[in-house]
Amino acid sequence: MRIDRTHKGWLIVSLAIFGVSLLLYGLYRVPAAKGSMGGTAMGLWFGSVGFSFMIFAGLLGARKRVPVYRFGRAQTWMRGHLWLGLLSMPLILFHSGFRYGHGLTALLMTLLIAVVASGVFGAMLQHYMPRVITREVSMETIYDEIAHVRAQLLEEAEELIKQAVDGEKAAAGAAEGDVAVVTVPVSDQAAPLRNFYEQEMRPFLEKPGRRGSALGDAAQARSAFSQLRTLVPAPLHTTIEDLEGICEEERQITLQSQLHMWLHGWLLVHIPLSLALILLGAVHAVMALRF
Amino acid sequence: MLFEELKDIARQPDGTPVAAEDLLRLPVFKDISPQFLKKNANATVWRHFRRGDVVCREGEFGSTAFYILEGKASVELATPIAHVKARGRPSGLLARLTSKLTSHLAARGEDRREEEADRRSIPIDAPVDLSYDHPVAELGPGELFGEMTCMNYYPRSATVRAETDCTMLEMLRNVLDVLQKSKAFRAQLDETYRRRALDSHLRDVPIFRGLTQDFIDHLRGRVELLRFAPGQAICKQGDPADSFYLVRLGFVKISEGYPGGELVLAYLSRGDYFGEIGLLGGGARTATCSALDHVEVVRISAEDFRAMVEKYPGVRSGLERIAREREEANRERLRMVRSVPLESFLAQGLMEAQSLLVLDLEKCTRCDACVTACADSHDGVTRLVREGLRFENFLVATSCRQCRDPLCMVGCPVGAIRRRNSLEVIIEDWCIGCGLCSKNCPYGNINMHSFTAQAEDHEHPGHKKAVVQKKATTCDLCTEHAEPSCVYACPHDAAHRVEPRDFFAGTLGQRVGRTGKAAQ
Amino acid sequence: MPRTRTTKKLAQRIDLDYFKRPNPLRRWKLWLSVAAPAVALLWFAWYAVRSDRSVYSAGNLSSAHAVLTTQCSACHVSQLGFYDERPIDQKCLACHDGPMHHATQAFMPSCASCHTDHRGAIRLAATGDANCTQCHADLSTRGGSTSFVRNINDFTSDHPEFAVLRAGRADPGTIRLNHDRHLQPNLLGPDGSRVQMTCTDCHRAAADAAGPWPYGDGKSQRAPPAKDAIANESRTDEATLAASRAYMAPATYARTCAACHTLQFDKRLADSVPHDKPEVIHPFVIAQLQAYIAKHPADLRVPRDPGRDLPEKPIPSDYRLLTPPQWVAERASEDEELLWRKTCKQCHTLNSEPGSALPRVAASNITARYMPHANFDHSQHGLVGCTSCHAAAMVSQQSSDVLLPGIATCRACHRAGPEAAESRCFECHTYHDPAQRKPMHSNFSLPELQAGTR
Repeated sequence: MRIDRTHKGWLIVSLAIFGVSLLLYGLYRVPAAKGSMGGTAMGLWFGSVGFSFMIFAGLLGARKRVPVYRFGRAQTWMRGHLWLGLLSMPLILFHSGFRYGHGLTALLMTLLIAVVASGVFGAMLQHYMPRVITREVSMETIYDEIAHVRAQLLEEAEELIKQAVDGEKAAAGAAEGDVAVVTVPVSDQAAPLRNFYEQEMRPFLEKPGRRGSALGDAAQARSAFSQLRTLVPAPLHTTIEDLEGICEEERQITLQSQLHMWLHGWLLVHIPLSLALILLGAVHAVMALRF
Repeated sequence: MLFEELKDIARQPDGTPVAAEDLLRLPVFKDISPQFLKKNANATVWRHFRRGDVVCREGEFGSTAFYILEGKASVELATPIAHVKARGRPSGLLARLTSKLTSHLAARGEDRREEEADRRSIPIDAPVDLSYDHPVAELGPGELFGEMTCMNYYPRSATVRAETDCTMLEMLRNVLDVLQKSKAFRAQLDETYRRRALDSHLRDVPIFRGLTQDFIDHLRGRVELLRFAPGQAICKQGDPADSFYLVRLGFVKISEGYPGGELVLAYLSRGDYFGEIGLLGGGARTATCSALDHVEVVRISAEDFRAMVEKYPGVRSGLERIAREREEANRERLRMVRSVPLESFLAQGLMEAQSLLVLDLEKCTRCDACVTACADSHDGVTRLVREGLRFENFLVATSCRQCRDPLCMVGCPVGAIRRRNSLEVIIEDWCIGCGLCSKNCPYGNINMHSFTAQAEDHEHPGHKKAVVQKKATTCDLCTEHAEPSCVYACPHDAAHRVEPRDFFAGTLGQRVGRTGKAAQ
Repeated sequence: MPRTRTTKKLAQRIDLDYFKRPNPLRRWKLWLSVAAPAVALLWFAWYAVRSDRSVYSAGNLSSAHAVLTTQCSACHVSQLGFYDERPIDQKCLACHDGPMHHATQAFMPSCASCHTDHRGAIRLAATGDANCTQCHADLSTRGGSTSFVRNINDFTSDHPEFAVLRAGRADPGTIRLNHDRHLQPNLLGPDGSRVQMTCTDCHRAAADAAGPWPYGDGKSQRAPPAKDAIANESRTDEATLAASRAYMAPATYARTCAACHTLQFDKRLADSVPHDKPEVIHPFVIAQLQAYIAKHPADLRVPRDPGRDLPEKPIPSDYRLLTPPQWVAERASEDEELLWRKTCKQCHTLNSEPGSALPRVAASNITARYMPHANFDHSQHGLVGCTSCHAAAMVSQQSSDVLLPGIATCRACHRAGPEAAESRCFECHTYHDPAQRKPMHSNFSLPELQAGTR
């Protein structure tokens, strides 16, 4: 989600809510008593509103599971999640009187900070990373299908090599006439290509993450291929171009999978912690009112 | 036996070519030149089928037509009539209640698309059309089936099975072509058509549905059956309008000319009709109708049409309404064509599109919510693939583009893929899974999907068995909802269903300027 | 052949159900999303199983209650309601005596509403002003009327001037004392010396009253002041007052006046009369004179004083010879006249009593403690000199002057804000009526305090 001008409405409402809360906090809680607690009437309001924002934020996951139900557009929910979730932080700070507490409340404060921080971090990632991916990975594919696409790239490369080698064989055979001499080797001309493929490219395509492969780096690959071009006759140069294209695509989807992990990996922190936060928050609400 | 004279020679084994002299003894082959038949000696063969044998299967490709001499055959759609569902029908009270609730929550409303024809029959490549409710019919001696396959190489539209022991002639295209030119054969074909199919065809036209039987009978005798060769114009834009046409066989292209080119408005196939605009408008044809391949049409003259209209004023108002709508839609399309210059668009064929699903890659987090939503609202099968070429910073997703010139519609043997009165392409549930539309779509927007369904088990009559069938699926713009589900479900405001020219108008304007400058 | 990319080719590389298949990211998301709440639940259960409620505590206990940290049930009651374990008043009253503030107060706040614990090591008695102003900001009583100011919100802004200093009030004391005169330099001191008096010569904390007084009579220093010499409006415990350093001991004659203001009554005698009621002085004077005349019978012959001859009256004889009783009576009458009309009257107010020859001395009404509803401790204000606050004393010439410093003097240091002295209500006032205090119960033994249950 790019945070752009379309968020203006939400920003204004959030600032308004924050302003009102700040005002109320300044007026009612600060002079009330030094270190006044969440148990005061104002404190309970702050706590309830803050917690309800957290619950709404948490419901985003549930909303995404039933995308077709007309409960409100996914976009509205997402923006609500961002802004109201962010607002829950100052509201809870007001609720706690900026105290860290101990025991359960200390744990909750830690969790809240972790969740909001990871959320802000994630929002920043989701603001910048799509552009990065779009720019850097022009031959983007679907992340979940990367293994499948890789297999297809390998097949394509195998096919190219086979055609190149067979083509040369046919040419060589035609040159030799109809006499098929067993000892005639596969045309020397395609050999460097095939060797290159078998030694360098196929291992690279099979295990692209492996270190030490020259083809993993764009500059090195370029020089490797241009070197290959000098060893191989002109008719095979289109094959080399194609192979180069395949390597480029391979590199790009490797990059894509890394960038994708950045784009989505933070959720592995944010989501579990937020669930724990909501659970413990409910426990805290119950226990605090009980005692 | 149709012709007693042939009884003795009919015992020749299955697959034996029919000798020319033997053919000439058939009344239908009366006018055919013997030299032609001798030259094309192997073009016709005897076919013998035992009871229960399958003559041809729907979806298969072929190049021959069959003429029944003896016996009865059933023609049916073996593919169950069902929409593609990845999940089965809910069984059990709780599951059904839940599915009703989810359906309500997903705001799946009524199909709001205009239905011109409450289609109760499925057009197939045979003298009779299949009824939607019970898609089985019977063919008997003297009936020809497989014309479309033979003449135009379309896939078989239905499964034909011998009900009794049958004897048939199987012929290639050259023979059929000649036959269709012969008066005797034509007469027989026409008579069969009038008797068996014309009625239902006429009734399929919604405006004619209210007609009484005697009127239909009166009309039936007055219609003309005409043939056209590929590319031949049936009527031209600007010509005086004097007839109404029903398509019996083949594909008719309706196009409108405008300065700069030709705009295809629609492709019509068996059971569709055209020409009412011109008739009602009282004057000139507003579009050119030409035969795409070998086409046979039923023609109703203006006189009879007007008489019909006078006798049934309700029919007139219905027709007028349809004509108005079509005219409006066509005007709309033309207007858009004449707007922004679109050179740069052509690179990806985006000009052809009337609606694109574009994903803003600068906002898209590649979360697949759109795909999941699409699948959720279409019984578990996604109609959208989040892959394709990029235009600017947008990904043009692989999802039906509602092309102006819908190449997918060309060749559907059962007319399952079509447009109603609105933009979106739909695939009806009697699709037989031949895959032609999928091949034809240049963007891969139509996918064949396998699913398991219950079908009649012919080895054990009365029982059903599970079969794996394939059907075609495509994006239908989610017309039952207010907004396409993919757009609705995108949390990042990245998915948009747009009219490409309007959406990219600003960009393209700038683009043109830039290229111009560069060229200098 | 060169590689081409078309939409169709790209789309057909993709399996149509890729998004339904499990993938590592989704799996991890699911497992972690189950694990994290499970861990949280375990954490909760761990404490629940051990009945350890300390983890839900909102903060450490106050310094006074910290030793009870392990004794949750000392304050929290679990059978109260369905789900309530809040502390109730009865639990506080089991150890503490919280006497009622005022019989006519409109409502009784609960203990915990003012003394909220679990706020860290604070002083629990230091309640916030809001707890007081919840009534006193707009005072109303069950009886309806009150003699106190109705709207007090805090000390700095609208606390009224001290009652005794409000308009129209005067020091009720009947002893005439001119502070200004006594603080002049070169005063005639005892034994003819010249002295400069200071505040502490007469005013000392009650606990220090036992030391030597510079201007006392040297004899009666340990004696407590006469009962009616102290008049105050509250039932202050005199013993407590006597031993405290908060208030000044009343300045009595014996301690502060006797050295200079001697009570001689006759030029023949060096003695002073005792500083007591006229009923005591009169026999003393008679006795002294009798003793004298017994020793000096020659004085029985009283010569005529020509200065006292009156015209037109027969000239008395040069000598009169009196009997001792006559002489004592004559002398006593003269001496007492001197006393009642001059000596005693210099400080006291004497009223003639009908039916008695002796006057009556009005009660002195010296106020030991002007503000019975507020606590003040002189020993804590030792950093400031006497005259900084009691500036009026330096120039006071009338006994009716109230020399108590006004509220403005207090506000010089006691204001709101971090750079001033404490100005909250509790600093001077006590909610719980100290006069109704009862002894405290003991509820714990040491082992119990150390072991405890949570």
